Order: sequence, then structure tokens, then C-alpha cells
Amino acid sequence: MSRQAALALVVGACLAAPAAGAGLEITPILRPSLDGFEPPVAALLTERLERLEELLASPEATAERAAAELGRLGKLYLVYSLPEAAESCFVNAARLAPGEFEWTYLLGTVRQERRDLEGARSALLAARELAPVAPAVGLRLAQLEFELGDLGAAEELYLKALEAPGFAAAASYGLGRIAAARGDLPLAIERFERALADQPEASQVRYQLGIALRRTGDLERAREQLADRGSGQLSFPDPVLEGLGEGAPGVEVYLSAGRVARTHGDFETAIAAFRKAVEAQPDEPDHRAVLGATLLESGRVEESVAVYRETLARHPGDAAALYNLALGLVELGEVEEAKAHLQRLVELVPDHVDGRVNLATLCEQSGDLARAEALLAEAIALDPYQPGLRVHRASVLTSIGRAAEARRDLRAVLDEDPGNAEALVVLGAANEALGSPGDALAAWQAVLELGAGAETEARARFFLGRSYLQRGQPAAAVDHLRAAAAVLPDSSQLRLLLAGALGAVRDFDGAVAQYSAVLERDPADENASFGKAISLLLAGREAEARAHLERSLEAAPASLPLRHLLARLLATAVEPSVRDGARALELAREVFERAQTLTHAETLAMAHAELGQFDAALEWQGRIIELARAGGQSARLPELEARRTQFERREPVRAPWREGH
Amino acid sequence: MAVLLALSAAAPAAAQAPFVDVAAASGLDFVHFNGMTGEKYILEVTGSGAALLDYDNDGDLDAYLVQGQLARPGARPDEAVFPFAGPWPPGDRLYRNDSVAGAGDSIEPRFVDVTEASGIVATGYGMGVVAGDYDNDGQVDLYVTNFGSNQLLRNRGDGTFEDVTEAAGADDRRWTVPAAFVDYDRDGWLDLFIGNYVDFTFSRHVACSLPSGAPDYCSPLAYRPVPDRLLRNRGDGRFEDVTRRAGIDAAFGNALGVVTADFNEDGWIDIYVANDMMANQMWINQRDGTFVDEGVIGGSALNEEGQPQASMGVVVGDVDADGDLDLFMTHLQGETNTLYLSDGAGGFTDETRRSGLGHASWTATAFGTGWVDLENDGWLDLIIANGAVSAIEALARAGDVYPLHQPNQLFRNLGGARFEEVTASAGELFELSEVSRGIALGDVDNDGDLDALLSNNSGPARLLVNQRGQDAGWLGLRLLTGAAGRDALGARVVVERSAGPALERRVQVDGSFASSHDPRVLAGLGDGSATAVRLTWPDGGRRLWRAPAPGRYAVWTSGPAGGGR
Repeated sequence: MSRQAALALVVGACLAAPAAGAGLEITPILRPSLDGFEPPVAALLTERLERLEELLASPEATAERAAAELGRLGKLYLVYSLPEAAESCFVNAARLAPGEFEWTYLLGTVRQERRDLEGARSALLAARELAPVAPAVGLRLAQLEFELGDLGAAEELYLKALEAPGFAAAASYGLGRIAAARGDLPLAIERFERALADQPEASQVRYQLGIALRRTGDLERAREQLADRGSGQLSFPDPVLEGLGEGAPGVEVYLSAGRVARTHGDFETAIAAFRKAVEAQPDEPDHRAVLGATLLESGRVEESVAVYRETLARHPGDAAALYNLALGLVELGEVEEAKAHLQRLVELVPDHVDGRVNLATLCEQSGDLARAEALLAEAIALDPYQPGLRVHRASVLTSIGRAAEARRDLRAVLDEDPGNAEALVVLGAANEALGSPGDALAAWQAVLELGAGAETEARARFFLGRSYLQRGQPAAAVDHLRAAAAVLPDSSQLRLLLAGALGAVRDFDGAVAQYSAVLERDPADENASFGKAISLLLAGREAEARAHLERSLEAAPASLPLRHLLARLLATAVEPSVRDGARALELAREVFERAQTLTHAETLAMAHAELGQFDAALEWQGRIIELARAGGQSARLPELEARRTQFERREPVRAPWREGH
Repeated sequence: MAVLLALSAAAPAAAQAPFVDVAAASGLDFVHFNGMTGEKYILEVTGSGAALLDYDNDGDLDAYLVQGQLARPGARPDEAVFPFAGPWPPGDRLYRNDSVAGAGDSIEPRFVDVTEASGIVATGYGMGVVAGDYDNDGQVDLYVTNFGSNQLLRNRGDGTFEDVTEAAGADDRRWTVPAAFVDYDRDGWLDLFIGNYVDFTFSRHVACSLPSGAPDYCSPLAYRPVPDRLLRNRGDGRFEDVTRRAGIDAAFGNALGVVTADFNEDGWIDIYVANDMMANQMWINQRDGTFVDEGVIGGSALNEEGQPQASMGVVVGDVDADGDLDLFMTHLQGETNTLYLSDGAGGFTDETRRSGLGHASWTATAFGTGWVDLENDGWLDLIIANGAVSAIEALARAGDVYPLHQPNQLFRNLGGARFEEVTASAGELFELSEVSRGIALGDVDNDGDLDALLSNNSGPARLLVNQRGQDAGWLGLRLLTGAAGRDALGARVVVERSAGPALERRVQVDGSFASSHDPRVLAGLGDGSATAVRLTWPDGGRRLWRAPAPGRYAVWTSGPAGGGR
């Protein structure tokens, strides 16, 4: 429980009031219990209280000095969320120094906070007598009049406040609420919009604006505003209250400052404040929790992880820290350590469903599918009401060869909820794995007919595309995969499949674009590099292919397929400027030494031919033919013989990748 | 746990008080046991509710009271801070009303504990209860919500019940508090909405403390909300989970209250869920088996400031007699209770500030609540059950061992959506300071006004019998539907009067906090008379009838003939 929520007071534990020497009349001042306060705070409050008692007992106490001391103590009580005690101080301070604006004003504000609306109004009216031009007083009075139902009085006060620098937003908001209460919705909307224009961060206004728009029937704009509503508060200059807690010690002060700053998106201030709270109470895990969460929210994942590590060093069994640390580590790519923490979590808190599910997901991603399945089964036993868990487990079951079991579970899920599109997607995969491609297609098609969510539909289209491609229907595959890629643009697996399908329909430029998109996300993706190079060649863009391969080899110099493809390109390009027979031969030799395959030998022969070394080319070609014959590749013999004839005619090879396309 | 506050010589005479507690005199000897053993588990302070129902169809209301248990697994009975007085183990209790004749057509309730004879064994950690005839056999059944497995208790019609939870597929093993029977698809079978609270378990118990360092109960925000469920009645004794299909999984919070009604007046029942410290949901029935949450856009999810509140209890009623259904819900100390007035089309406006209900609720934590026309003048008054959920510091410091108790409150409707608090003049019952939770409303003595069965956490149940309403004119209806005569939950009744606005009433058992009300419809006529009754049955069928004779209950059935029974 927060200290704010438990305003600790001992009613009746009061200071002995009259200070005989000075004849000052003091009404009882509440002495709050300081149990549970941090020692520096308790010491400060005790010291101030004793000082006040001493002063009041002194015959030399004057009303002014007593008021000042009471007011200072009251402000401290306010800082430490003890408004009732603060009020008892301000009541006396205001009476002892009736000409002092600050105490009367603070009395009004603290009563406003305590919902003593009449009392607050009385004090603020008195404060206004003392400082007629203080706009904060007028604004607070306006708020009170509104709460008390006197819309006319509230309106008059808000209109006055409207002109004061820094008050326009709060006053406009107040005027908007008055207009809304009177049913003048166009005016209310205008006022709320003005408040937002003045303080765009005050997202609280959007709720009122949204409701007013809804009441006018403008549902579209209403929904927009309501979707953007938030907890951003309107602010106005209030010199008496600003800086009240500055310099005051105490975790509550730090936490409060941190929370306010976080609400306003000022993460730096929030983090600094929460760090102070941690320094003041290093053994309190909650302070680290809020610091860690704020760091994570502000994108400072490493620091967040460090905070949670420190929590665990002090409290090894802190479940929240284990969980949050794991999440941070996943963001940092430290999957194994994240798994270890989640494992510890589920051991400590056996019914932690999310811990199990996240651990299962990480196990699945790292290929430990059996463990993932077991964890998901345990999670389902703990919470059988999440069909998503059952679908997730079925997906894993399918991957580990238990598709029949998966299909049974999925059918049970679909019995309960025939519209469960995720279940249909996985059911399709299970059917495919069980050798029922027709049923698989039907399941995925059903997802499209359901009008499921875009991502679910995209997953169904991925499977449909893959299935059509496997069936030799690349055009149909392209349609589904294109639609899926529009929804899941970051899926490399999907783009690679789409690129393959585009190649199959001879849209090589389209394929190049898909491979390029994959490489943008991961320049080291060898499959995409190779696919792009081939597609460029098939599109006749040989110079681009060479440049691409050179760049790719800089990133992955050990890649055999890329070196081999470059060798062949340099040996056989149609464009003379692309060819480089000497380098082709050098690369081809290197590749052949690393892997003595028929294909590599063919490239070697082609490189010799490009350099005019047709005897060497013929010698290699003869060995290739013998190897093909010995290796049972008789189907290739006509092609290989034709190339030998070509070499005998002393003709080099050009663009062999076009053969068969 | 009762503490009598400020027993002054100036207390009003009992005859002037609106209610008198007849629990003990009528044999209702239930005492709630919360099973606390010192760890301050959040579930200890949450329950529980009560039901008023006529399970034996003899024309008077029986009572069902939900009991707690030892909270900590493995705890011994002697470890309980407040020992359980009855035979172990504690369990829910069913009291049959063997009433005796009273003045005129009224009766005097006499309750007999028939739990054992009824076959009911409900020894879970109980939270709430709702009554409804799910199998359309004319015998009202019970759905009991628990921390842990819930129970569907089928009324066999011979005074006994059987637990059909598993066979009916109606369980939810999570922490359920509110539930509602509602025929959302208008197929004639009562479906079941289950409102779940938070994912507290003993291994996830969070320790919270007062500033002094003393242990205290945590806010629900220490835990995560658990999704609600909608179970569709298949009509064959089984329910199917349609939560996802119906779109109910699209939003959820820490559910503590639920009411069902046709909020946008399209003839289809909607569902409103009150969540603790989170935005509420207004599930608008799309008439195709699905729902869309229009709470935020409709203005009923958040208060006037755009803030979620700690909603506990919720009731629906036409407070301002303008022909549509308004919402009132109860909240935590430091918040207002909140009144949302309906525009009749699913839109609501927070009118708390102007209603007189807001400021008066600032200092209390409220749970159960209900509209009670105290004087039968046609205007709905309000009763509120209070009791904190975390220690009240002043009580704790005074050495109170269970420092959560607060007096309940009563508000009189001044004619419209304006109220005045009349707690101070409501007699000794409203000077008691207890940890009150559920309120079930019903005409226990059949005298034409609403009485209240009040359940107290770690305290005795109270039966508040209305002393005022019977002196004014009233109209009573029991509306039945189906071949066997099931209470037509959701039916709407508009009573046209010779003087004053028409009265909109409903056959409604849900609402309040974790409790179930008398399904009969009562309309106070004041000094006037009823001229006609417009009926809308749950299936959308409408009828206009001449008003029945006042001062007695009439029973009407749906169908082409539609006459009396």
C-alpha cells in the first residue's frame, strides 16, 4: 500500500496548544505517526515538530514566527503525503498570520485535495482577498465552483483565468466541461480542442473531447480521440506548490517525482528520481522494479537488465525480477541466459503460466521442441482457458512429428470455437504433415473465408503459397505470398519463398526486389545473396550481379556458393566488361580445391575456355564426362558432350544459367 | 465483527427506521468465515454474496449464503484468526423459508437450514452466487462462484440439488466473483457469463504493508486480470465456451460486478462488466452471437475524468424515470461511487457530481448495492453496503483486529437523478459498522416492498425488512416463460401510472455484488394507480396489458395466450 493511500494519523495526538507566554491560540495540530517512514524523514519531521513545540512554549513566540514555523511544517507534511496533518498546521498558520497569502492558499489547496469542497472554497476566497491577481487561486476556485455545481460562478472564474499566461489550457478545459454539462457540445468541443492545442501532452483532455464528439454523433472523430486518451495532466503555473518537495529527503518524494516525470514522458528525470529511491532503500525490490521498467520503457535495455540483476543479487527469489530480466535479455539476444532465469522462475513459482509460455517459446526458437511442448502442456494444465496455448502446443506437436495428436487437439479447440483462425492455420500444417494436402488447403482457405485478423490471414497465405509452389502452381503461389508479405514485411522466410515463386514465373526483377528486402534486414543472409545474384543473372543484369557478388563476398569471404557463382560469372558473362578470365580461373581453382564437385569442375573448364586455354578446357571436360558417367548422371551427358564439342570449336561458354530457364 | 457506533439517546425509534433486521428472529443464523490466518491474502477480504430465490416454488423467498474457507492451503482450523463456529468444514448454506401468515397477504419469514437435506456440498472458498433455471424445468438452479472451481447446482425439484458442473461443462477453475445467467442469443435457454478477477495464487501472494510496516491487503493491481468467459447453453444440459467466438475475449479487467440488460434498447440483452481499478466493459450485443465493447465510446467505462475506478458492485435501473436504464456502481474509498445516466441508445453520461451520490461516498469502500423503492413512491432509492479492503489506519491503531469495518449507507431519491443521504436517520442498522459485501434484494415477507439480505465478511448475515413501502400502493408481477415456467430474466416491464412517469422495471436477478435477487418485478405506485403494463419478453415479443390488481403478485406467462397462471 502506498503511503498516499494510508494517511497515517493519530487523531487526538496533538500539540498542547496555547503558548502561554505569547497568548497564542492554537487549535490542535495533528501529530502523524512516523512509524514506517525512513529514518531521515522521521528525524526531519520530528526535529521540525520539536522546534515548533519549543517555539510555541516560548514566551517570546510571536504570531508571525509561529505562523511561519507552522507553515513550514505543514509544507513538509504535504511533501510526505500527510494532508490531514498539513491542514491542521495551515489552519493555525493562516489564522496567526491572516495577511500571509501562502498559508491561506495552501489551506485551500490541501482541503481541495481532501475533498472538503466548502472548506476549500472558504480558504481560497480568503486567499483571493489577499492576492486578487493570483490566477492559480481563481482557477482553483473555478474548479471548486464547478464541483459544487455553480456553473455560472465557475465560468466567470475560468474566463478570467483564460487570459493569464500559462492558464489558457486549464481554463479552456474547465470551460469545455461547463459547456458539456450545459449540453452545448459544439462549444465544449471547441474549448477542449483549444486546451489540447495549448498543451498537446495533456491527453486527459482527449477523453472529454471524445465523449463530447460522441454525443454529437461524430463517432469517427470520437473514436480517434478516445483511442489517444491518456493520463497526461493539464498543468498551470502554481508558484506556491512548485518545488515544494525540492531538496526534501525521502523515498516517497523521489518515487512521486519519478512517477510524475514518467507520466509526462520525461524518462531522464524519472530514472534519476527512481535511482535516488534505490540508493535510499537499496533492499527494496519495488524501487528497482519501477526503475527497471522505466529504463526498459525508455529503450535502455542494458541498464534495465543491470538493475534486475542487482535485484536478484539481493533477492534471488524475486519472481518479477526474474521474469523482467529474462524479457530484457531476450531483447539483447541473450537467449540462453534468459532461459535459465525463466527456468528458475517456474521452479520457484510453479503456477507461473507466462513464465512457462515464454520459456517454451525460447526453447522452440532454439530448436528444443520437446522441451517447448512439455512446458506448453504444463501451462495448459495450469490455465486450460486459453485456446491460444493449445494452438501453440499443437504447432509444436506438428513440428516434432506428433501431427495426429496436434490435429486431435485442434479439432477440440475448433469444436468449441469454429472461428478460431489460428487453430485453422495450424490444423492445415498438421494435415499437410499427415499427408492430407487437400485438407490442409481447405483449412487455410477457411481462414481466408473467416475474415480473420490480417496477420493470421497472412500466415494462412504463407502456407497456401508454399503449398501451391510445391504443387507446381507458382502463379497462384505468388498471389498469396504477395498478399502475405504486405502484412508481414519483415518475414525473411516469407520473402524468400515469394522470391522463389517470382523466379518460377520468370519475374526475375521482382525476385531481386524480394531478395534485396531480406538482405536489407540481414546482409549476411547467404540464401538471399545467392538468390539475388542468380535472379540478377537471369534478368540479364550481369554487371549488377558481379557488383553484388563482390560485395557479398566482402561480407562473407568464406562462402563457397558465392565464390563459385562469381567464378562462373567472370568466366561466362555475356558482357565483356563483366568477364575476367584470369580471376575466374583463380577462383574456380580455389573452389574446386575446397570441394571437388562436378559443377565446380565445369566452372574450371569454362574459365580455361574464357582464357583461350581450350586444351585444358577439353581435358577437364573429358574428366567431367567420365565422372558423370561413373556417377550415374547419364541424363546430363548430352549437355556435357555438347559443351566438349563447343570447346573443340574453341568457343567459350556464355550465360550457362539461361540453360533450362 | 459488528461494532455499534455512536449509540446516542437521540437515535430514531425503531418504527421510524426504514429497515429492521430480522435475521436472527427468522432463523437466519449464517455467519461468514473468511479463514484468515494472518498472511493477508487478498481473497479473504473479497467475499461474499447471497441469493434470494424460491427454490421450492412455494411462493416465498428462500436464502442462499456463500461461505469462505480457511484461506491458506494446509492451515488448521485453530489457526484462523476468527474461528469458525459451526461444524467443520465451513460451506455455503441454503435456508428454506417456511413462512407463516402475516398481516393481509404478507408472510413472516421463518428460515430453516436445509443445506444437508438439499444435498448441496459447496465447500470451496466462496465468492458469489446467481440463480437461474438453466435447464428450463421450472426449478431454479444455482451457479456458485469460488476462488477455484465454480459449481453448477441443478435443482431436482424435490428439494435437493445435484452438482452438474462437470457434466454441464460449466466450470471455471480461476477466481470468479460475479456471474450472470443471460439468454443473449434469444434461443430460450439461459447462457452464463462468468466474470473473473485476478490471477492471485498462494505462490504469487504479494506482501503489502501499512506505512507502519504492519502487513496489509494488497490492491488488485498487484496481480493480473483474468479473462471473463461466456458459456452458451446448448439446450441439452451442456454449455459450450463461446468466449472467443462471441468476441468477449477482446477486453477484460479485474471483474467484480456484472449486470445484463438491453442498454441500447435494440431488443437484445447486453452485458456490462464492472472491473476493479480498470476500465469497465459494455458488451453490446450485435444480434449475431457476438458482442462489441462500447464502454469507452459509450461513456460508461471510465468516470467523468476519464479515469478507471475500483468498481465492485453494479446495478441497473431507471433512476430518473425517463424510460431507459441507468447504471450505478460502487467504488473504493477516495473515489466516488458513480452514476451513469443513459441516453437510451447505449450512451452514458457520468452524472455523479450532480446526483448527490458522489461526495457522500468519498470516505467509504462500497460493494453490494441495490435500488430499493423505500416508500413505494415510484422513485428508486439506494442502499449501499460498505467495508474497506485495506486497513483503516485509525481503527488499526485503536487495536481493532479487523480494521475494515464501515457503516452502510442509504440514499433517498428526490425525484429524478438527485439523491440525499438519509443514513443518519435510518436507524440502528445503519449505525452498525461491519465489513459488508453482498446485497440480495427481494420481497421476503411478500408485503410489496423490497427487503435486503446483507452478507458481511467475517460477520453475521442480516435480513433487512422494509418497514415503509407496504403502506403505499404497489404492483407485483412474476413473469414466466417456457413450457415449465422459467423466470423470464431480462423481460422488461413498463408500468403506466395514473400519476407520475411510467415506471421501467425488469426481471433481473444479477447486479449488486456477487449476489442474486428476487426475480419478481415490483413497482411502487405511491398515491396513484397503475393503468396499463407494457411487456417486452426476452425474445423480443411485446404485449400491452391492463394493469393487474395492485397489492398482490400476479403471475404472467409468455406465449400467444399470455394470460395469468
